[in-house]
Amino acid sequence: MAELKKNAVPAKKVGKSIGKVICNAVLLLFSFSCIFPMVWIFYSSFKTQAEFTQSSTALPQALNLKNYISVFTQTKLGMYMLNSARNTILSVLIIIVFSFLAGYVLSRYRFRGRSLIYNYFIMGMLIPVHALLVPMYVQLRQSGLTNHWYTLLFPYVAFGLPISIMLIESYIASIPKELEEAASIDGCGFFRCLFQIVFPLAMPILSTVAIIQFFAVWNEFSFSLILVNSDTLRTVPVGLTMFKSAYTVDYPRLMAGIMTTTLPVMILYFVFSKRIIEGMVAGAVKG
Amino acid sequence: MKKKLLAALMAVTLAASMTACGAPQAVDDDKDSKDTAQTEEKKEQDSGEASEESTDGKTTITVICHQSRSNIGEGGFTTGFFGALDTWQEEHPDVEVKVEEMDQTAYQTKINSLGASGDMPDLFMMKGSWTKTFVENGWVSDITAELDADQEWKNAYIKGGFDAATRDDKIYGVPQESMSTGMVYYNSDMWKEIGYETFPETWDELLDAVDKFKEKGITPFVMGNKPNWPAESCWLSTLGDRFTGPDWTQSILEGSGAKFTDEAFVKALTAFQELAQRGAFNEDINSIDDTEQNTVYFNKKAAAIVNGTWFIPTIDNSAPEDVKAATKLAILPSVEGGAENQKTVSGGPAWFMSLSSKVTDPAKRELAMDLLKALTDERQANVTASMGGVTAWANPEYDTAKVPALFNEYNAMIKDITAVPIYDACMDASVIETMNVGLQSLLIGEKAPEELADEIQMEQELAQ
Repeated sequence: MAELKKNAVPAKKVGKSIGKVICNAVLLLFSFSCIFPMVWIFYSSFKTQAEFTQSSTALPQALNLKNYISVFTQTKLGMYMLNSARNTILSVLIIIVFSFLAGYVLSRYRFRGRSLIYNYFIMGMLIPVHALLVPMYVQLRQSGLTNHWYTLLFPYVAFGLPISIMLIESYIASIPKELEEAASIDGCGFFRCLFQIVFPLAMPILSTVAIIQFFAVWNEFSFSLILVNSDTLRTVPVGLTMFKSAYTVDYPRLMAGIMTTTLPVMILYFVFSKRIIEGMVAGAVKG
Repeated sequence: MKKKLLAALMAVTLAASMTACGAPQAVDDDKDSKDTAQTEEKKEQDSGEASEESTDGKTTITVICHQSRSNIGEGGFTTGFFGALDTWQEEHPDVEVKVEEMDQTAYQTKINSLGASGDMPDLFMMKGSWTKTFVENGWVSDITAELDADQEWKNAYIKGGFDAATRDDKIYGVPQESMSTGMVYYNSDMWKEIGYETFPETWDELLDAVDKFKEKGITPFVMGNKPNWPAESCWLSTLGDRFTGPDWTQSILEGSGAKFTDEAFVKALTAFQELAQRGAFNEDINSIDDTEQNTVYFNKKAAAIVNGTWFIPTIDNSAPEDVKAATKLAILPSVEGGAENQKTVSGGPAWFMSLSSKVTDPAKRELAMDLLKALTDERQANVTASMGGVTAWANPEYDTAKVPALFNEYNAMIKDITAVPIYDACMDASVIETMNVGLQSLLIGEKAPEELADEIQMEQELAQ
């Protein structure tokens, strides 16, 4: 019996560690598949077009900076990035402010027409962007709002509100009302209560909203293509397509462009990664 | 009572949120942005960007193109186009030319939105297959009169150059680039190894060569049909004509009797499928794209590739030296019992420079037409050709010693070859979509030729 026991324990242990190894191997493989594209884009951006066409996965033969030089001298990528950054920062700020206020009121107060307003916002999620491209263009064009630095803020904020309001509304509903009541008893006014009690408590969902909207706006393509004509107002996603010519794509140069435009975003991500992951979890149920 | 209180509270909240927008910081933001808005607007007006029409007597001509300045020096046509544009601008300092550049995919979305909202730029590029829609929608201007008045200009293009942009004898666009889409690029060294000094001239020889390559474990033809146009644009447009002849295609385009279910077209589809089943293509035909196919050919894993003339500069720039030296040009072999003329290849101009129907002012129209001419005649064509680009301008001047060898070879052989329509450059877009998607299934044996022919015919009837 003793012998059996002795044998059984290591077998179990071995089994456990084999399981661990397999688990880790699967996870490692998975994370490798996520990281590899970035690594591939990075080293491919140093290749020449000929090297790339002959083998798309091989390492570059020499560190050649031609693509980066071309990106910075021949294209206006820097300007496109500034445009994208301005659109993104302003849109996200406006979305946060609007959706926080609307979400708070919709969640805390019961009044006639509340569900009408709520559903009106939610309906915005059901309409595909492409159905609205032309009407939106005509509308903005007639009112003289196309081709300005602020043109894109309208659709970005409008399309960002539904999901944001929905997330914030349901999150605030989960914050105990008693906190506000207690504050109120201690003589806290409405706005102080809103911004000093509810706002910090809602921080996780607000950062979720900020992250979702940041990515949505930064990557948005259709509106940016249609609503803005002037080259000085182009955004990064539209600017990057210019690297393609009619029948050929200079992939290494395109990758140099991608590297240049994603680097700032990646740095931002690494700086705020803890916050972002927390935020993701906060919205996990609904998002 | 309670309700009233609530309503009052709501009103206050609303008012407060509107005026304060939260913190004082936000107000500052707002003010800042207003200031910048004003300065920006001023700036725009100064440079004449905000105003559509003339500022201080300057006429503005808007141009939209699927080309980008960042590709100057890489593509022949891009270089020729912007070169001609800049020269014209220098010669006309009193005119402001505003150009919007983008890539081809984005262009297709944008031009349709602009057309639908009645905001077409003065000069734009029109695909031959769009002519019908653009004319019916009244987006494009009839320029027959101007061309007729300038016979020298009109007659300097290749035969049939205006065809795809012509409807009811009215011309709606001037060609710029031209191309042959169905050229065979073959590695002559590899074909010699299986006993072919030149590319096979009959279909049976081709099938025999396919078998020999298969035995050696080499892919005879590589095709990257993931974007689904190569099989139709590069192969079927020419292969179809081998069986049907150009009269059939013309009849399809005019809607005068011919059907996709006609025996000749079904035969073409059958031959195409048999070729695939014989193992002529790579197995991952539907999962690699038209860039990845080049890699396979460059690495000598495939013996030939059927591609458009745009492939010539790619070979010149990117192929390994030995492949570049061994690559020769041919056309698809002749078939038995097919059309009369077997020396054809699908080709012609796919894009045209057109004038918007919005340009009604005669003076402006004259200016715009002058610019259109500069962008389409030898001023553009000579530069394009000297970089190895095929032009619709019949006889461009360029230094033959400075262009890729294949380009000279192409120009020499194309003189004896008749160009036949490229399906996707002239047929209805929905028909082409059905054909392209169907061909993907046909080539992997999931669809019978008759079945595909039926589907295409059905779409054709819907489109008419």
